Amino acid sequence: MAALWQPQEEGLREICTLLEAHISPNSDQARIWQQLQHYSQFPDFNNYLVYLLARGEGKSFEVRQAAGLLLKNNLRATFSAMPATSQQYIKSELLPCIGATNKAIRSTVGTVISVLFQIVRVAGWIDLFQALHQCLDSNDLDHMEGAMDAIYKICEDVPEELDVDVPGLPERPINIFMPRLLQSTHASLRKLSLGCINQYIVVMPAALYMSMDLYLQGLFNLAKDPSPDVRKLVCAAWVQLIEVRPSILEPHLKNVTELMLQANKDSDEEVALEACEFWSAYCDVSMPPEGLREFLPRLIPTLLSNMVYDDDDESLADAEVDDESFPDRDQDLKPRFHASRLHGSETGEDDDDDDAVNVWNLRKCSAAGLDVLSNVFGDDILPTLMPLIQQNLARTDDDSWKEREAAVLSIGAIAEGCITGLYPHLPQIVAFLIPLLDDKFPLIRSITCWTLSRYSKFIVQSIEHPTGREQFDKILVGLLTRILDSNKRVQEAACSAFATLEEEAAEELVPHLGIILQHLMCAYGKYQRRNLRILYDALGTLADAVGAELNQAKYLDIFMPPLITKWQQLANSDKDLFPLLECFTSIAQALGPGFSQFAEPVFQRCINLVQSQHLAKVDPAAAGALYDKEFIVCALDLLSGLAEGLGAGIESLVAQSGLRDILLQCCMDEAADVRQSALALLGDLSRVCPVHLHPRLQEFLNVAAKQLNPQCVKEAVSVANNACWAIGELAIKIGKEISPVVITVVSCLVPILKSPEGLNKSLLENSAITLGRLCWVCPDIVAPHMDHFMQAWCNALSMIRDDFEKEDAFHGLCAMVAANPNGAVGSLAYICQACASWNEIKSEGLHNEVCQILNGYKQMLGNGGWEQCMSTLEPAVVQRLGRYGV
Amino acid sequence: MAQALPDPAAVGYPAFKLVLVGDGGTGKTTFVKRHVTGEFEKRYEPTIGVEVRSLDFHTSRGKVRFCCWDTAGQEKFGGLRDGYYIHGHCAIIMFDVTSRLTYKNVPTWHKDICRVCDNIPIVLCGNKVDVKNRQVKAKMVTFHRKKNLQYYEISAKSNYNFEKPFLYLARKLTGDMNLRFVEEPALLPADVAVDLIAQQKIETEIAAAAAMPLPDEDEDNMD
Repeated sequence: MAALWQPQEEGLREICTLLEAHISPNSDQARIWQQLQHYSQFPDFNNYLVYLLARGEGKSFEVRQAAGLLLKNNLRATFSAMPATSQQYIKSELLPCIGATNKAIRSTVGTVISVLFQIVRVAGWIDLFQALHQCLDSNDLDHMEGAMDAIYKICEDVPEELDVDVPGLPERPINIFMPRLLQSTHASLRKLSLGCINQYIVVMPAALYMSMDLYLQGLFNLAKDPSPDVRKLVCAAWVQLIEVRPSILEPHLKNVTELMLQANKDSDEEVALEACEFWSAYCDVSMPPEGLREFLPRLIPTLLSNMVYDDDDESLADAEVDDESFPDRDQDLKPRFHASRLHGSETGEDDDDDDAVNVWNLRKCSAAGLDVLSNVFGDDILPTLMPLIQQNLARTDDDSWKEREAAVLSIGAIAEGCITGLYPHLPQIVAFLIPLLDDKFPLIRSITCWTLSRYSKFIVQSIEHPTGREQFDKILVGLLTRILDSNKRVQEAACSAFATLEEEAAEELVPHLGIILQHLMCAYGKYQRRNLRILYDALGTLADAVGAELNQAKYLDIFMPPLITKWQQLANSDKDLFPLLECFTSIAQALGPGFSQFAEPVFQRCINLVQSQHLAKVDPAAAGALYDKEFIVCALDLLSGLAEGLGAGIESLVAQSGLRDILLQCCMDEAADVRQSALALLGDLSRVCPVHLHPRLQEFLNVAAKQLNPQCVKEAVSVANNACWAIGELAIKIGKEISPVVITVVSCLVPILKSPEGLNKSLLENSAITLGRLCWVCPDIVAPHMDHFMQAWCNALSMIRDDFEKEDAFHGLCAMVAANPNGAVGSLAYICQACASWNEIKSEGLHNEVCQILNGYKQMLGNGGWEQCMSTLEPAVVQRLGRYGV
Repeated sequence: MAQALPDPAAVGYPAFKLVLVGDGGTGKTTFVKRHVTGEFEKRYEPTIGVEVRSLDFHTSRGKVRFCCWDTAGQEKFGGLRDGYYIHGHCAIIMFDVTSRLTYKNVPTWHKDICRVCDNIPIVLCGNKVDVKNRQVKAKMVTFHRKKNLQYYEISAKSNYNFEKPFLYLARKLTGDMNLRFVEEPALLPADVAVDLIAQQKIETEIAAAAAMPLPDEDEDNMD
């Protein structure tokens, strides 16, 4: 029998020595690990460990604890394979220690029990429950706490395992424990009890469901518990209940809300933070938010005061006053990535990688709560909020700067939700904010930049009023001044805010281009590495926003020389080139032909970059650099920018270069982002100088077509997207020469059009357009197959906005119908739908063609057939068809 | 100040035991080696059991030492595993933003720490943000909110945010939230000027060592 097992003194001593060495920082861990492997071969090694844990009197608690944890790990791996006598011995040694006087031992025993329980479950260890009961009934605090600790760990690991019927037990274990958990009287046990029950909110066993009133009452009673840990668990329970079981809370909602409001003001920040999660959770569940309305006058002030920077906030400790001259270190620079060029509508996957999204504290949570409330209640929160904001903004003394800052943050937080109500007051709000751009405290200056940027759209809208224009000018100058701030954080906020404003303001920036460029280039001279990246972004965005307006000598003289100097300074292997290449891409596109004076060296540099990377890939020593595909991608995208900007003007540069061969190689690269950019460039070159692609045309077509097979689409959808677009661009330039790949491409596009669910919008649109272009160029090849795609194709065409690409596609549609009118008649309703999707066909020729087709069908079907078809369409569609004379 | 290690006399300034945990291959060893030897370890050698390294930082309150217990992430090399956490003063849980599974396992590492160390400051680190196609996006990282951990995105390769976890822990352990590091630790520059020939040799060796695959890349299909 197990009880007969006794350890050998020597074995015990050896294992102790080993464990001591194991937890000492100065040991040769690799050697000890070997020894451990050796000992674990002995069949009764785990008996020694449990003996040490349970009876190792005289040994240090650390060693006993280490023995217990090692035992636990061994049990997890090998318990089932152990001899029954050992299994029994271990179980029986653990139970008497549940209430060990030493806390570390007690807790370790609980941990071991929970792991063993996961292996053997209730039925495999009935004794455990008797032992736990005895401990809970013992009235000895150590015993009760040890039992509760073990139960808590089991609940945390496998809550559902206590909610099972087991032969030999009159009740499910949870049915027996639940009432006990609900009435723990000892302070130290409440935390554990509450922790146990909270694990069951999601599982919701009958035992808890039946005792719900008792549980809720318990939560109410514990709201003012002296222990912050308990109060935190109470808040967590309410938050979880409203998330997963809102119906249970409904009858008590008013009381619960009241309690959460109190808890939100708790002096313990963690309790307040936990409570603060309640408001977003409340608004997220499908429950009428009206219940919250009456609390708003008290809730909003609480949120606002919790938005004030805590003294412990990392941002405060890190905010230097004038740090602009401190160089940024590698550890300050977040790795950045270039997004390969994509032709088509944005997928809207804005990857907000701002570090700020990950900071979570009471301030952030409160601001998020206010944001949610403003979206749910809109302007109704303003009567409470605005007076508080005004009050805080009026406190201009140094001591109140954090309150002032929180007021500015809150104005930014409600920018989306409350804009209707705020819009009429925007002039006053902006008037309040502008002076704060010059506040003494850097964190106020930076938050003011952010808040103003949140209103960019409306600030720009207001320009039509004279006061609005005046304010716009002031904001512009204000932000430009802050771009030159002496504090790096303010520089960053101002630069980002300015980029946001640029996107909204677009041509409104034109009258200010001189002063904008002067400020940006002044910053260019003094920024450290981190903010320099944001500055490049602001400059690129400016170019995108004002386009050809930038193409004036007086502006070029301001910004091009410094950029060119930097361009020349940076080596081909310097990663600081990336943002500069991106910036040049935007500038080339904006300047258009105006960029030609700078084009030659830029073009040549791009070719060199790609070539030297290709060399680096096979022979880094010869290239003098390590391979980094990012250089290739950035260089290809800049070449695309040149093609777009210079148009046919790029031809002479392409002609003299080896670009064609390089491009073909890149189109076949194993890295998806290289292929993506290469195929974009293929499309751009097709547009402006297809003749230079001609010698290797079939190779380009084959490579591009390959990207469209279903496996490739699945693996690299953006590559497929660009390949699809490039094929269409080539088709309309080279005509019938596209023939050899038409069937291959069409057979790839059809499945895309037929199962559009889950595919990105851009690929779908490009597929419909490219299919149309192929139909237009090679109707005789495609028409025999049109049964397969007509309806899906028309559906996709209906979703595309008016533009010249859609015109091309409709030329293809007309060509299909002309080639086989009888074949298309079955899809007439879909064709009508697609035709009705135009707001206006700008091309007269195409408009007439569409008229002809529709009228042709009307005649062909006769009145009865035509009316029948019309009756299947929405009235609005039928009405729009009127434009085509049917 | 938290009770420092019992033998500060050995170094004459406060020393804290820091437990570094997380799945295998998330970059724990590379991270601590950044400080000690300034080496970016390109080669992956799984840690056996634990390796203890002392990292010293110069703070506005004087020198502070973190005794980093860099524990094995791989199950089969785990050794004592959570046995190493005993008397830990603070912890860093590391996951790899390019591998969802390593983030999914964070709650388990957290639970194991909490069961051995009562209420110690813990930092969650998402490593490898230098890799372009990350799987765990910043917005998907929410575990730290529920458990009141500090979270930092880091790159052991570029050194990005190297100091942040240590600074946070030093502030928590000393109770001085205004504590600063006054001297930059000896980190090697991010992009080491590598001897290209040696580099190639290493690359070849890595290819050869493919027999020792990184764990947890493919097993995870969850979205």
